[in-house]
Amino acid sequence: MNRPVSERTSAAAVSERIVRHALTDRVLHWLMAAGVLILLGTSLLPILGWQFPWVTAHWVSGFALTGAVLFHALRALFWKDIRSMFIGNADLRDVLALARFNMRVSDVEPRRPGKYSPAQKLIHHAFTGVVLVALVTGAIMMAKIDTPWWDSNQYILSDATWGVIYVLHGLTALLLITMVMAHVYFALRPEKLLFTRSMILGWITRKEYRAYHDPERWQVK
Amino acid sequence: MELFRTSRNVYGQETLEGMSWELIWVFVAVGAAFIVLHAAYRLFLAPKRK
Repeated sequence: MNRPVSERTSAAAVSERIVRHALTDRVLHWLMAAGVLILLGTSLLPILGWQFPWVTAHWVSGFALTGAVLFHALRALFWKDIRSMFIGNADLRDVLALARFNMRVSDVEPRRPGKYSPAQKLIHHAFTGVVLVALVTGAIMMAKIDTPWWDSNQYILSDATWGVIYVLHGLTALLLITMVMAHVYFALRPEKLLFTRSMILGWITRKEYRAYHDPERWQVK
Repeated sequence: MELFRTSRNVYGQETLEGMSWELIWVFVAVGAAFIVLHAAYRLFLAPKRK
């Protein structure tokens, strides 16, 4: 028996998959996530009383994270549509509309976003800034430890400058605690699970695409 | 609660050693409070989308 056209269209929309994150981007995301978690664990657990030889694991993880971040940045610059991550006037209007809707000032629902919502862009840029400061200050602190490539030298900077470096590095660790908590919380919220699935498996359905994205702002084939 | 860890160098000058690690629990608490408040807002107060 032939099903009605509307039912067939609906069924196709549920089953048809749209790639939201390519395999390379998903691998990079989880490598960077693992890097951040290992760096937090190897720095904060000893402070909380779990003593283990953490220094080598910490700087090796930092090196690995630096490599992943550089690769991601190059890929975003030259192979991806980096403009999809820019925050522009349209995003600011969306944030205002969302605030007015949530505070019940307006009944008008905010426009659906393109590939990334303003909130997703903001958390990405917050992670970018904080992780970059952590990596740069961490790279400078490498001067104080012996590695296979150089011997430690703590006299390249004054005590006062080292103090600023330590404060910035520690502050990034503290900020990352709160940011990772918030990121994981949103990833596990029921209405956001499709985005988490897309970061694991790569896809969303066409029905989800229509429900959560504005096809004019994120055009897919 | 201190914001920074400090020590004195060989000349007796106070030098920065980094952020105070007592703040770990402040940042954990801020994250937990944000999660609870947001979840409560979404559950009880947020307008439903059509």
